[in-house]
Amino acid sequence: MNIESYNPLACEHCMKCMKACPMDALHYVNDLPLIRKDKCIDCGKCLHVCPNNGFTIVSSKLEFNKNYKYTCVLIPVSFYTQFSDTIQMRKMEHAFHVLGFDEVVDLSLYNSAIMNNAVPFIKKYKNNYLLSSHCPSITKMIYHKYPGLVPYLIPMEYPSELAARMKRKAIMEETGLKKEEIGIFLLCECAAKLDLAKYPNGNMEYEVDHAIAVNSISAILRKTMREVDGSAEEIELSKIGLLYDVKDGVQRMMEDYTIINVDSIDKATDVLELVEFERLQSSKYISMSACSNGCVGGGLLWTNPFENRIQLEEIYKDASDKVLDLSFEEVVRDIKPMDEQDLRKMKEKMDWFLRVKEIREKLPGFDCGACGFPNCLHMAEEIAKGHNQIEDCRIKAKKE
Amino acid sequence: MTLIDKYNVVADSFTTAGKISSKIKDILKQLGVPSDKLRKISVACYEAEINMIIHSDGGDISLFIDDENGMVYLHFDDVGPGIPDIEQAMVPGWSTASEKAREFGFGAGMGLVNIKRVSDNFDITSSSEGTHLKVGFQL
Ligand code: SF4
Ligand code: SF4
Ligand code: SF4
Repeated sequence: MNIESYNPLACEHCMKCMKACPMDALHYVNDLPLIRKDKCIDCGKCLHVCPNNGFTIVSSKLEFNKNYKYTCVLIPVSFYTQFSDTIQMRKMEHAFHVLGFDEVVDLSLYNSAIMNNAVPFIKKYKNNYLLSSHCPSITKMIYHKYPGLVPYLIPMEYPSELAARMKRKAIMEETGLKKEEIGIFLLCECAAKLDLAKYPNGNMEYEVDHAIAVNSISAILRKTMREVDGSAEEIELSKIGLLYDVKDGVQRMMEDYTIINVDSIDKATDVLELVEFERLQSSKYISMSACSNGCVGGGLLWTNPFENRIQLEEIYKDASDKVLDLSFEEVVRDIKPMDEQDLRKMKEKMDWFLRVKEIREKLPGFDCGACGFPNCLHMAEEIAKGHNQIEDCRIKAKKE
Repeated sequence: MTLIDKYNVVADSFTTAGKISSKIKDILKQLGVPSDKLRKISVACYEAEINMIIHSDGGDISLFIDDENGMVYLHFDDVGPGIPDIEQAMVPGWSTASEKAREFGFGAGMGLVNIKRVSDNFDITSSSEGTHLKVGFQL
């Protein structure tokens, strides 16, 4: 979970955040929102819907690069769209050097390796349902809400992981440094990607060491950019790699096969429901991003998804045809099957279900949220667990 | 065996087609039915719900759980013309879907065949008064 706490002084108890949460992960405790770690998918909806800056993003810090002998920062394609021209982009890269990074790595090249392998894979299995796996927020939602669809996720690596692995290896060979003396940092345009690193969240299985939220470094980066001349190396973004960050990128690489593209959690929910009922027949590859227009709509970026999209098309015109040529085996990600071990016996599950059902039927069914839970079903579960009482329903209390 | 819920299906209600199946799917998720089974039950339920909407004059869908034997049962009971030749209806691709149904993109004729394919227990009786379909799934 990368969205944390809230500012108790700022919160006006409007409940917009709880109503917006697609996972029912937000509850009210003592009149303040509380995010449940086990349910949150880091979609950022609560954060963006709050009129009062109630939430904060958890991020690693730039200064942590001082703990390493050699450091890289990985820059996502979407971040390049924040700059009006190449001079500004070069200033940005230069600024990262000034801020202590030995290498500034553009992720478009690594994106291209993934794209180049994903497209033939999707075509090869076009008679099977396949789901994109690039958006960590959507992927988490599939694990939580649609566990039966986990096997359909395409097994492509995250570009940041690919880059981190390859970079670390190359640097070790070049410099003779030890693994842990090299620090790999990932700049993140959304809350979900902050998970793809060891820190801030302690996800030790990742190759990336630190994930940095774009919004957390805006001030220092802009200030440093004003002080540099942009004499960093030439910037050469990969065309195919750029497409990775827009919602219809994969479609643009397919001439004869129409795929389904969705770019919000709600639309992804709609389409995943249809997949569960096997109602999609004509096209079976579904590309899903939580953010508008794809990762260019990442919620932590400075400008809006539509501007970013247009800017990306501008960059695309001058981008290069270079591709990182890797084999499928080199870009494959091990998608862990869902652990569905539920040791309760059917009888126990039934008893629990019936108990909740009985309580739910006693509640008004307004789903108003005044009790602090997103809907009456939730409240019924809390009552069944013994955490609440039926009298805690505000509607019922008012009537009696 | 416990009746969990019973839902009314209205004939020709194409615009809300699949809503009951969605409700049943949610209940099964709540019940912690393993996901591979959930898929099969959902697909069968959807097909049968659509069948009822297209072919019958309405009816009920009932969801039962037999927790002792670990079974989920779905009963589809409708009133209406019935299926004159069940054997023929079990042939893949055979369909009597009405013009309206075809307009909505339903009626590919895979209904009954699909339901039988995914279920562990399949029983159908039909007369000119209506059709009774019982499908069971071992959890
Ligand atoms: S980030 Fe998304 S899933 Fe998490 S609490 Fe906020 S709205 Fe809910
Ligand atoms: S959106 Fe949530 S955190 Fe923000 S003011 Fe409203 S209730 Fe408080
Ligand atoms: S009606 Fe009662 S139980 Fe339902 S959401 Fe409102 S307060 Fe909670």
